[in-house]
Amino acid sequence: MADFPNSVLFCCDHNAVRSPMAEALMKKFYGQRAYVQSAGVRNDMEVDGFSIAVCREMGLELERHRSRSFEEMQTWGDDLSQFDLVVALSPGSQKAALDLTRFYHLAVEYWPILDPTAIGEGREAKLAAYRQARDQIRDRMLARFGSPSAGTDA
Amino acid sequence: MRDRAAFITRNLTLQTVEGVALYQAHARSRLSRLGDVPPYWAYVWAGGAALARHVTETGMARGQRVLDFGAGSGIVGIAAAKAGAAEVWADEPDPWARAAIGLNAAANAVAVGFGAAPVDLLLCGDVFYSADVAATVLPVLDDWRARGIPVLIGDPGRAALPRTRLHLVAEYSVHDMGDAPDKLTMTGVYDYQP
Repeated sequence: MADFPNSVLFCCDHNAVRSPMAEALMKKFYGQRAYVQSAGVRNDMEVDGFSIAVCREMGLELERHRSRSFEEMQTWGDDLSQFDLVVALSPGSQKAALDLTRFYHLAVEYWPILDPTAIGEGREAKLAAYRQARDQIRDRMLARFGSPSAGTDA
Repeated sequence: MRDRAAFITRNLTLQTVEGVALYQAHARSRLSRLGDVPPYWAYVWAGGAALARHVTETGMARGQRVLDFGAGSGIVGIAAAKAGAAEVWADEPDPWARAAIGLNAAANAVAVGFGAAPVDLLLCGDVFYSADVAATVLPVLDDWRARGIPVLIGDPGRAALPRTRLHLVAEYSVHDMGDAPDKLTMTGVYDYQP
């Protein structure tokens, strides 16, 4: 794909549900083709059990993900200028990503993805909402970046 | 437009920001359903919040015909109307935002019109968040300024803010979209120079 990026940063509001899922999916689908990370506008939540469960269904491991904000990324030495593309999965992170273009040369894309955290009563309804968010990310990713790389099991 | 209004009243909640009642997104709003144009109108941006506070605190829009340019939620124009503006018009390309502006104006019992009308003052909150938008907006602001209409800009220092053309009038500490509830951002109100 002509505009397949060398490096992608996925972002959402808390780096606890949507952007960690996107990071894991991207790594599974495209392996080493791109350097992939994720971050949140702020870090005030951790990956929850529903995210872990629906990712496990696809063979993705999220347990070890530690949520972090843009600010923490920079503090910890993950230089934002190294990213070609920032994909924002929420309106708030889209705005935050545009703010970063003041300091860094980044392309920004907005992929509207359902926030499943406040949807559904009960475990099954919640899992359904999280699956919906996961599948929205997957479909958007495949449409944007093309078929998964040869040699992966996606 | 009626469908959009129904969606907004069903999925967003009225909240008061800078003294203006506005339909605001919350965790259950599911605005991802609205597609690929970010629903910026469902949130208050720092630039709009600062301009709203400025017109409220200074009363500078009293008796004026005002255009809220890039209105979003309409917070700036509605604040101007509440502070005694003679007429308020909104310029906003997003049809979802226009639906929200209509509902928000009604929630504050003020009138905000759409369309080309002669005005005395242009208020422009937070439109310099992207180079593309800035490139579209600046010629329009230049055009109004060339006709002698004062242009006030509210902005927290976004990427494409035309700093060399601005004279700082006031600064306010306000909340910005996406930030933690208790985080405030120093935001300028600027006079756009010809």
